[in-house]
Amino acid sequence: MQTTYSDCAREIARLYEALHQLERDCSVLRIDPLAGREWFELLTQKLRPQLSDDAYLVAAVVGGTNLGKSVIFNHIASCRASGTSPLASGTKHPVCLVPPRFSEDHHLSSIFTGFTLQEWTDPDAALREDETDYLFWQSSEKTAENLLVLDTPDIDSDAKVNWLRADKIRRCADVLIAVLTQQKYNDAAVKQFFRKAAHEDKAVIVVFNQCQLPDDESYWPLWMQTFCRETGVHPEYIYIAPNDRGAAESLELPFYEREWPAPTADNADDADQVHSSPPCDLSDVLSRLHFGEIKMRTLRGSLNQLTSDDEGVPAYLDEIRRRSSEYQSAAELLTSRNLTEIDNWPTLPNSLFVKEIRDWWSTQRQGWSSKVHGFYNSLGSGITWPFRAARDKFGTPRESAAAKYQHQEWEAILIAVERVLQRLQQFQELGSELLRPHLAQALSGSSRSELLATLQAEHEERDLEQELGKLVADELASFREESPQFYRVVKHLDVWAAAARPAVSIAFFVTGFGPAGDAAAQLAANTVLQSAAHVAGDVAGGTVVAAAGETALSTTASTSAGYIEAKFHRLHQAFTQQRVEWLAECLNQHLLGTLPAELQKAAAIPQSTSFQSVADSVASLSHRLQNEPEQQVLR
Amino acid sequence: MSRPELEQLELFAQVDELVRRLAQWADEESPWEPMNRCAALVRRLLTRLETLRIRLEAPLVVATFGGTGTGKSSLVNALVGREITRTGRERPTTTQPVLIAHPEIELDALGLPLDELSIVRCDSAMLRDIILIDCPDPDTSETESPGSNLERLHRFLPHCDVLIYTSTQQKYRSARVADELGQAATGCRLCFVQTHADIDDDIREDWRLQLDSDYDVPDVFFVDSVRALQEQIAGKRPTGDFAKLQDLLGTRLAASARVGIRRANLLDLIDGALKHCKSQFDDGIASLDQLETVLTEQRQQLVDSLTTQLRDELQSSRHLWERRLLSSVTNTWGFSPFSSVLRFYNGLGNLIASSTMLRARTSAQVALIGAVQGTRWLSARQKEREAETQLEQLSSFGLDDAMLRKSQLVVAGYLQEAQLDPGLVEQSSIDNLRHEAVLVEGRFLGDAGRRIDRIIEHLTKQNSGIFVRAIYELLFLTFVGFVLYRVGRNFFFDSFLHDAPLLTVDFYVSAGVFFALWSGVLVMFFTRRLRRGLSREIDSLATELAASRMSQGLFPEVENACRELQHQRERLEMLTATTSKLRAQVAGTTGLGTPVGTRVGSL
Repeated sequence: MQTTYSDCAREIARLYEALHQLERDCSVLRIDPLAGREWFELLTQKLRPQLSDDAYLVAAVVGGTNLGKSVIFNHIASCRASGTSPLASGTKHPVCLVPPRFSEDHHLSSIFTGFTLQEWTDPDAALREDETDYLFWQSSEKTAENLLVLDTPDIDSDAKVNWLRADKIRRCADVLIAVLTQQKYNDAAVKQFFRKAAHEDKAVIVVFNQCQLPDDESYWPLWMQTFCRETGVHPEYIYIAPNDRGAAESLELPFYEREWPAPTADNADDADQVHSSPPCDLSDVLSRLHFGEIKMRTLRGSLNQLTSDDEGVPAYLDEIRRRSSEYQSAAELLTSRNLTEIDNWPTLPNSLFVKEIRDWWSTQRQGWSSKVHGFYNSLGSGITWPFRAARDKFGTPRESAAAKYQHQEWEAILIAVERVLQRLQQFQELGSELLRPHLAQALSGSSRSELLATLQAEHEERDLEQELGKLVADELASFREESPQFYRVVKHLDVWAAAARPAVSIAFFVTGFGPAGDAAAQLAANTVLQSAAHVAGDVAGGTVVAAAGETALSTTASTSAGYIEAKFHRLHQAFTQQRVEWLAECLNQHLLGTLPAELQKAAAIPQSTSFQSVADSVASLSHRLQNEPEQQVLR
Repeated sequence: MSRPELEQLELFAQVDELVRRLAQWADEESPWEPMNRCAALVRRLLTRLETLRIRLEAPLVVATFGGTGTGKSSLVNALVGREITRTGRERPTTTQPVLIAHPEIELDALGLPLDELSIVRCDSAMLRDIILIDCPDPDTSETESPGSNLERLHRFLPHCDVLIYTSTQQKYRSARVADELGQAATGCRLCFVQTHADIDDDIREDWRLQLDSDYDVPDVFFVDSVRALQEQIAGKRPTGDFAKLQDLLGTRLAASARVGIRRANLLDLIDGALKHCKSQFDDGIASLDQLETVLTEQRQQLVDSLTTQLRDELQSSRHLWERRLLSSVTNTWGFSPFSSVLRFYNGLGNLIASSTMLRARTSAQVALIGAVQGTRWLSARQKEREAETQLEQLSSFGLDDAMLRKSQLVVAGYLQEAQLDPGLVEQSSIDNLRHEAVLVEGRFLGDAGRRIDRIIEHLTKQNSGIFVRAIYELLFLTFVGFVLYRVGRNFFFDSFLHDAPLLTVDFYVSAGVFFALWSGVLVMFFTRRLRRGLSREIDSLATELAASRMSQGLFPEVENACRELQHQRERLEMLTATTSKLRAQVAGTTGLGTPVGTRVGSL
């Protein structure tokens, strides 16, 4: 037997550790904490301290307010150990009678976890109101060895803290001395309290106090019947005490033992005999109890509660599983539809591409052609400078193409954000309760403006030109690698163009096309140059002047027009894709943050090791409980 | 009619008025969810008040209330003076409520669920004015399941006018009964009784301490119902506290007090509902305030950006200023030599600028053209111009689609937080928003135009002083006089007397050239003078405009809704205040207990 005890104790310790680990892991699930769950309180207040200890018995006087609990307790203690008062809800803190030398072998504080222990000084200490949960203990010669007797606060008054203290005492108790009266035996609060006690298989001794004798002699079996039916309590003994305040004050209240189930009419003589039996001493009754058996029974009762499928750890595990699966489905909902689906991204104006391509091309020139083109380019920009300057000064200020494009992008971003928010709103309306607070937070006005501000800042921070330059360089480098022949053709064209350049330039400058060409080229770049062949000319050309003149030359390369067109298209696509991806990532990050990761983590808890070890511990405990031979109960 | 009677009538009229205003308050459709919830609650309350009004003159319904075993049935028997309902020591004794009424009282008109009661007719002095109900207890049922005592009790409580709350030494601090009483007490007068005087101690002092925080407790009676019943059966008059209780019930619940008690109950109910509404409002008002702040901020931002834009444009449109200032000055000066020159110069300038003027590209230029002209121009243009140009104009002021969409997104978020109907913003598509933006801009520019007019008027006045005028006229006329003098002297004197030749065309040409130059210089100086301090004026105009509050922003519907809700809230507060005042007036007159803080019980 002893081995089973210590095995159980070890298993309980393991379970306790595993539960704490699991609770930490479960913080994302936002389920109620362990503390406050009945089975967990049993685990900490009953099983953990008492499984490993030697057999001692905790007996507590419990019941509704102003029924005379303290009076009965004082009768057991044979002195005024706990203060009494005609006013209700008198006892605020439990009082404990400890047998002498008990504290040599035991730590009271580990038996009564959750209480601040204080040595008993006067009976009225327990009546004082205090936020701390005190427990006053007093050494008493009167109680049997290894028996702790307690007076408890009430279980039904408007001071709810009393209920909590009484609940703690109930959990660690083995024997409950239930004080009932005709007014309160059927009260909801009383019934609830004793139903829990019955589930934990406590030994219950019922005392019907304040009876109108002999009238109530015929009523108490009815009361008892109702009480047992409603709560499931099977009392060990029943006593009735008369309503005699004088006797109660002077500790001379008689307790008459009654037989239960009540004797039938057949042996009514017996009953009469019982009725005339002398009153008995409650402390004697307590010391007569079979300590070991009761201890075993209440521990088993608590273990049963702990491993019960409906109320114990398995129910907790089920709750976690259920909750996890809710998170799972929430995560699925979030990922099921592509939240950040973006279309209608504006296309970058060709002129910007052309400029980048030209810049790249000029880095590819070598030798004298580079010098010629370079000279003419600077000459060209030198000549056109006054015109440009004049335009900038007198014309309406024009946004640069890049700035204009960025503005268009910003509008597209806003539309995309609007859609994403709409989709999130739908999720919020359809989605699970779990997502709702997250989504409400994401959809709130302040986080919206924050999101927009961040997006705007990040959008402005991105250097369009640099990005574009890098993209063009990459793409064109790959073009050089993929089709070296074509690259060579274009290069040759460029060299020829350099050779022809003085003539072309003079011709154009004389006709006056040179300076005006800047404007013409702008126009051309956006409209005519849609055709890729022209772009090739542009690539080969360099300056405006050359660009206009070399259209004829570029026609030679038109065989490859399709290729270049595809290439150009690809550039557009690649650029747009890059931007869209950036936005999608931004939105995911700023709108949802770590939510998807959190959801995944929550969904994976039932697979975690802590969950498994709790499940294993409970399985082993309930296996042990079922296979252990049924112990003899009291009597 | 006696004076107290008049006062009573006036009080009742005030209560009726309160109910009317309450109905009015709850009758309005609101885009705010908490307001709708409140309105629904109040409408429910009003139907209950209606039933209360129907039986205003009917006998009061008095019910016992208290934990099981506190002697409710015994007390009823004692009050009636005979054994009517079953008393016992088994809990609960009473499961079906018992109604005890005088044989002459019509029960059908009272709206009570009679088929769930067992009815006992009894010819007792106590029952001449009241109907007694012996209710089941609230504390043996753990949950309110159908058929439980608690459920039965809850069905009856709304019909009761007065509750006799019984308790004992054992039960007076029972949490469950106290909770139930808290729920039930709103809309009822209370009478507190400690029973079992034969066996229990007197705990009334402690009980009163417990009750004081929640109830106004005039008297607590300590009665022995069993003895009182025996005394009455034996034909004796009951003694002690029971007699006082009987007396209180007899006088305070008499037919004349019915209306007063029912009004007091009605006020309690209203008070409870209003408090609930107020808490709903208080919960929601923070986010509503936030929304309003955001809207104000947006309006302010709008004003700021419009102002900056306007100031920049005004600063850069110098020639337009000049034109307006000159025409204004010439108008004030009327006809005079120098003003004719100015007018001529201005006319010339106008001729050149007219094309620019008519094609005034930006809104600031429109504003500068003048308020009257400008608005007319603006409205005419608005009609004829296509949406695109309108948008162009908007975006020149920073009110482009991106900005509009952004504020829409943000406001929609705050709207949702504030539990306002999101339709208020979502319905206004970007087109509507553009329309609003045009209106906002129009209002802003109208305002700005009027201020510009004032500036011009001010500058004109400053530069039209007699001194300034005299100097310029004199300087101008000096030249004219000098030329005339030369011509006159040559014609009348030199050529006549000294045979000097007449002045040639050369002289007139050069005189004309110098005339043009001289008047040009004068005009230049004058216009420069006119423009002096203009920048400062424009800056002060901008600060003035920025400080001015825009009456309406881009979301007028939301703004209206917010204003409306603040108004509703003020009305709610007024209703609450009136109710409290009336409650205080009425409560004292009944002489019975009342809950201090009312709750929304079982509406």
